[in-house]
Order: sequence, then structure tokens, then C-alpha cells
Amino acid sequence: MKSLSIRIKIIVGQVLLIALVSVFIYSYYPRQQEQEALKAIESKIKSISNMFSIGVGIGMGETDFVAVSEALEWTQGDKAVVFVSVINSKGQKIAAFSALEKVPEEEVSLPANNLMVTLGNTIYYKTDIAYQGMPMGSLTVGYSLLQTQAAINALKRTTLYFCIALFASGVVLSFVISNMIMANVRKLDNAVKAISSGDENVFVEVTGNDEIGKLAKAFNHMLHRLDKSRKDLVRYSEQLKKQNEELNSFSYVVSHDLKAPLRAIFKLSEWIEEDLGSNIPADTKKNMQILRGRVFRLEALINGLLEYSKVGRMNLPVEKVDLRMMLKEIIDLLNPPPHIAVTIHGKMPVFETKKLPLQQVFMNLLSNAVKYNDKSEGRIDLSVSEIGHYYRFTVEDNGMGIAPKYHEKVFQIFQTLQSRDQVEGTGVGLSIIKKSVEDMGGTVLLESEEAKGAKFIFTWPKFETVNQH
Amino acid sequence: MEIFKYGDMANLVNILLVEDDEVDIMNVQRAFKKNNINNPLFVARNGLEALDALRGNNPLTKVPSPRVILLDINMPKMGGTEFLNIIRKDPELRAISVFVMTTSNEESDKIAAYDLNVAGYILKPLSFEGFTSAVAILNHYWQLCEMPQGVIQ
Repeated sequence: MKSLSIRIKIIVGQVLLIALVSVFIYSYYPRQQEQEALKAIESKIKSISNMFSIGVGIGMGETDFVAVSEALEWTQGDKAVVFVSVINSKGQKIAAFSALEKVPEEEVSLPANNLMVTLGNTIYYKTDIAYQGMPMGSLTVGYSLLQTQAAINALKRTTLYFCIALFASGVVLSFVISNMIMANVRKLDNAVKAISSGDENVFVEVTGNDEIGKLAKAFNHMLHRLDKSRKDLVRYSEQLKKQNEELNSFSYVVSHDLKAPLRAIFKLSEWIEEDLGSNIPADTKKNMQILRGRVFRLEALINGLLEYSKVGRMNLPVEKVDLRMMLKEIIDLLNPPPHIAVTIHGKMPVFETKKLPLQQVFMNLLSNAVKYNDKSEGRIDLSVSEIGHYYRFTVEDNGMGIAPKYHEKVFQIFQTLQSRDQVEGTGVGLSIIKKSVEDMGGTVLLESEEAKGAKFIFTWPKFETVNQH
Repeated sequence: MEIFKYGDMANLVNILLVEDDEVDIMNVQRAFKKNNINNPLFVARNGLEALDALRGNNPLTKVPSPRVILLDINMPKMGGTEFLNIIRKDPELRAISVFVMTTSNEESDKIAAYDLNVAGYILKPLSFEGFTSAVAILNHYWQLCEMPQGVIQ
């Protein structure tokens, strides 16, 4: 039932309804008419009998048999009166008329209780005859039902034809109506299919202003808005692409043009020092070294800025990553001092993702954990768990930790907690972590207190979503 | 157009340095001196000047064969990539060995350079010491390589 189309449902429903109405009309109307007719006949018989019994009563009372036969003739004015019999009080038949081939024998035994009795096609009615209060005998009138039955049969036939015609036209009409309804529904359906298969600029041609017509109009309105927002989206993405390109060339210019003078300063200081040879005062030599240190620092800052600006803008390939292997490579590369133990706990996943940013996140977290570990027995623990569509990675150390009031600040670019003269750092690492993780749709969290180690927790999607760049 | 000659030995490879930054030019000269490299060193300040020097538009500044080019990428008027594109299409110049020597660490620059058959892509180290040793390695390489002596027709 559920899988039937709306059209079939409408047609079946309408046909059933019409069939029901037809059957009802056919079975009810002729019967009702028959009953009406019978009632009319009964009252007619009664009135005929009454009139006749009065006339016969007078005739019998006055022993005027001419009057009786006149009354008898009068009854024959109605062709339906097929039987009349007058019996006097002594039981003698004094007058009779019969158009019937066979007079029913029961006629005599009919009860004189003013009841109608139907025998064959005739209704009999027996009534007493009285004259001036004296019972004179009884009168029986037979009334033929043939005519009435013929009329009723004709009526039944007519009703049947009418019902068949009604049914047929109802079926045709239901097809027509369902087609009218379904034409718009089909247009809507086709439009939806066209859109879902990727066609653009599809609209529904609406006819009528019924619910489906209104639905189609609303649908067109929706399509129009969809089209508009799609165009907006295309425009925005083009704008974004352009801005991205501008930003790319900007960062290129920054990297080259800001660095060139720096390199010149660096080299010139080296040459000055070299040219002065052994004549150089110790102070000057130290200042030159500081000068070059600052140049190094500025270059590192520029590099950090460039790296930060690149996060999320690069079209990076999705690769299969064996995380345990990757972490081992990172640890090898960092080459932590022997007093710091780096442990990978549990089973690290092997999955497909953008390798480079994930590598960078772990690289930055681990190098921070190594760099800011002040304990004689350093400890760095790596672990993983799963939350829905994400992996949840934890990098925990027992280093110097970060006071809660700085937890937000450390993720901002160029923010360092120690003077750069104490610990050389650009303050870019954590900001890149945050940007990389958030760009992938994950979150990064820090749990730490001063001198009690730090625990960085970040989530990373298990699957590469299609829409990410 | 400036010409710096540290030697006039006919069998030595002529080196054309295409570089716009004066300190970087000094850097190369200093590194040559320090490594006792006597190859004739010619300098052009951008791609256009370099093309002039190679094609001999001005006979005074013509760089004779055999020759090697040290090329910077970011220069005014005509950058390194554009210059490479032109000489690789020029039948007289396309065989010249070109070493890119730049500060640009951009992947796109490296890809473009190797697409145009550079002999090497060298990032300029920040320190002079690093650069000096890089130039020494280059010098060894040139000495190792046999170059065609005649002018390519």
C-alpha cells in the first residue's frame, strides 16, 4: 500500500467511493420506491373497499341487487382490481368478479381482520359489510400487483443503468482529476530529480493555484534563492581565491624583501669584523655577535610569520600516515637529551590525513616539551584515544609548565613566556599548532600549572572531509 | 654593467653573476677571493642586462664562452625565471649551465627552475662562512666538469 503511487491511491479511493455510492443507490432507492408504492396501494385498496362496502351494504340492506352490481361495476373502473367477492351473512356468495384465471382457494379462509394478505401477484383485503349497524356479510377485494411490480422493475433497471453510468463517469472523472493533480506533482518530481542530478537553472512550470500549485511556486522560490546563494558562493570563493593569491604573493614578497637587507647586515658585520682582523676591540666583537644574533632572531620571526600565514592555505595532499612511525621520526630528528624519556603509549593509528600539518603539530609540541623541560629526569608521554570521528592525542610532560593565566596567551602568535634572550623562541610554534588543528576542524586544549608539567590535548579528524581545501 | 676579472686564463670557465643586490655581489666576489677562484666574473644587474651580455649586444661587455651563470630569482625588470625561460628557447644560449642562487625557499620557484633545466638550486646561507664553502664546492664542480670550448652556433 505504501509503495503505491499517489495517483493509484487517489484513483482506487475515488473508484471505491463511487462504487459504494452506486451500490447504495441501487439497493436503497428502488426498495424505498416499492415500499412507497405498496403503501399507496394499500390505502387505495382500503378506500376502494370502504366505498364498495358502503355501496354494497346499502344494496344488501335494501335488497337492491342492481345497486350491488352497479357498485361491482364501479370497482372495475380500476383495472388493477382483479377480484371482488361479496358474501352475505349466511355465507352465500351474492356477487363476484374475477379477472384471475385461478381464484385462490384460500380466499374463503382469509381473516376478516382488515389485514392485507398477498397471495401470488394479488393483494387481498377482506372487510365486513354493515348497514345501519347491522352486519350484512363480508367483502373481499383483490388488487393486482402486476402493474406496480412492472413499474418497480422498470425503476430498478433504470436505477441500475443510472448507477452503472454514475460509476463509469466517476471512474473517468477520478482519472481526470488524478491526472490534473499528478501533472504538477510530476513536474515537481522531475524538477527535483533534475536538481539532484546536478542541473542548474531548473524551474517548475506551475499551473493552477491549488496546494500543489502553491507548493510548486514555493519550490520555485526556493530554487531561485538556492541559485542566488550558489552564485554568491561562487563569487565569494572567487574573491577568496583572489585574496589568497594576493596573500601568497604578499608573503612571498615579505619573505624575500624583508630578508635581503637582513642578510646584507649580517654579512657586512662579518666583513667588518674580518677586515679589522686582530685590531678589533673585544667590546666591538661582542656587539657584532649580538648584532648577528638579533639578525638571526628577526629572520626566525619572519620565517615563523610566513609559516603561520601558510597554515591552511596550502593545498596539501592526503596521505596514509603511520603515526607511530611518524612520531619515531620526529623524536629521532629532535634528538632529545638522554635525561628526557619520550614514551609512546598504546596503539597509534594508521590513517589517511594531511600529513604535513599533523607532523608539524607533533613536531612543535614535542620540541616545546623537550625545550622547556627543566627536570633531571624528564618525561614526555604520548597517548591517543578516540572520540567519535576524531582522534584525541595527548602530549604530556613534567617540565616547567604554564600558569593557568597564560593558557590563552601562549596560543597567540609571537607570545613567549620567557625573554627571547633566555630561551631562543619565536612564539610561533603554539599559534601554528592551534591554527593547524582548528583548520582541520579539531580543538586544542592545555592543562597545566606552573612547575607541574604541561598536558596538551588536541583532536584530529579520522577522515578527511571532502569540502576541505 | 660592470665587469670584474680576477683572471684572464682562456681555459677557465667564464662566470656570469646575475644579481641585483650589491651586498650579494660583494658576497660572491669576496667568496671567490677567499677560495682563490680565478675564473673571470661578469656581473649583470638583472635578466635584461644578462641577455645583453650573453648575446654580445655591446661587444665590450660580451661574456665569452665557455660560461656558467649564477642566477638570482628576484630581480627588477626581468627576474630569474623569466630570464631562464628566454635562454632555454634561444638555440645559442640554451646549453649554458645555470645555477640558481637565491634566498627564495619557495617550492614554486624551485619547481619552475628545475623545469628549465638548472644545474642546481642553491639557497644562500645567512652566514658568509656558509656561503664561502658553498662557492668552494661549486668551484670544485666546475673544475670537474668538461665544458665545450667553442662558441655554439
